Amino acid sequence: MLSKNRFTSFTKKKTFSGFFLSVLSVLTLLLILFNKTDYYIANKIKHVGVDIISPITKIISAPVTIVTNIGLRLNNIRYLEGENLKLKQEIIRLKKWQTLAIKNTRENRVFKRLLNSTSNVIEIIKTASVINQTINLYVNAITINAGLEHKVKEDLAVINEKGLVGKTVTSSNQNSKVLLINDQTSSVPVKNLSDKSYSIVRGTANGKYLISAFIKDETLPKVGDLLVTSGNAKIFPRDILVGKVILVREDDYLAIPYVDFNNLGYVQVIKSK
Amino acid sequence: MHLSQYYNSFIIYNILLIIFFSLTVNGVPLFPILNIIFYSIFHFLIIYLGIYYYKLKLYIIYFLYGLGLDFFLLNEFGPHLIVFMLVLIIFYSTFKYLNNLKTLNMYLMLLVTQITIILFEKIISQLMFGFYFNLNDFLEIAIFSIILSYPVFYIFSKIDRLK
Repeated sequence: MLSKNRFTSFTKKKTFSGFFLSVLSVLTLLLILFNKTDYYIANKIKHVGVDIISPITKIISAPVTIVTNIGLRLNNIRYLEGENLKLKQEIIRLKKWQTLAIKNTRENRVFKRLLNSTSNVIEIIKTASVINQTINLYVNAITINAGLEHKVKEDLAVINEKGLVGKTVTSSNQNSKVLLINDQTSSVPVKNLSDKSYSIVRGTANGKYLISAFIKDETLPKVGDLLVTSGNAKIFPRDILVGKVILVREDDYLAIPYVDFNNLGYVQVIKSK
Repeated sequence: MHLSQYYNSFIIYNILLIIFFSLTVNGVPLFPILNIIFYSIFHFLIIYLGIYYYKLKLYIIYFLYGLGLDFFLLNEFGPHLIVFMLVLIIFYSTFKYLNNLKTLNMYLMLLVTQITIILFEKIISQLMFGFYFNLNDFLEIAIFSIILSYPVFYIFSKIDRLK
């Protein structure tokens, strides 16, 4: 009698497990379907992920981040004296450039007034700090603490003091996810500053460089040429620094991004005025 | 007072899962190797749980972590979720055979399963969303998985002894 009861209970448990597993499998398929069809539920789940789970994971992983930062600082202290000397020489060199830049700015302002031209300036929507970064496992992306409440929506350009960082791909109320330009799925229309040729660049598989995905009129750049955003895609305003060409091959070229993606602290979400 | 008096091993594994999940999705940009290490340990841990602690709660755990990894690492839903659910179905149908395996065979099976599911995740992410399958990246993860697997397996067997 007892063994019969046990067997019934085991069978019931197994049936329930099978049923539960089937339900979850169906849910998985539905989620994938919703994701592909850009359904409301998939976006809602993504918003919950960005708003709630991101800060929690940041807190949990904080000790490792702190330890690695301390290690890095200690390492920097070792080379402090040598770097100080280099910086002193750099300051002297930059002072000369600064004088020249001030002079040019004044001249530029006067010429603009004479030509009655309007400036192509960008509008800063929000300056935000990076709260999460995923690197090289699949997608190169960051999460920033600015969202719909700060007028940060999808498909806006993100920059920092060095140049173009990426574009927003998901925005929730408080946070947004930014796809970095060194990701292999990103694509940025760029212009070569020296010959004004146009091309599209994306990230390489290792996320260290940018590679040309399309070159207009097959005009290859030269090593050392500077790439800026062309403004052809509506997302990125024109003339933002993207990278510098370091290798030219038969069909494509490699560029190194200006932005140091290993040290992203603060970024700015912008749009064209 | 021993920790074991407050926490049983299943709870400890779940705490470890949360920690490794957080470390996997919060990359350390200056040390990319750490990301690979956390990613492979997370996979090893979740498979270990599936084999040694097979219970109903695990269905939810697998589902949520699959969803989480997909969202944070790919910004899409699919590869991790599909592979995790498939692994659960396989565990569900082979549960009684897995229980009879010896320790060494079990260890090898864990390692092979881990590398296989990472491979499948990469392949599915390429098929579904066009993520480039970089063989070097995969080999890097596989090598780290092999190096780390035995120490991790040893530590887990110690945790198992906690009541």
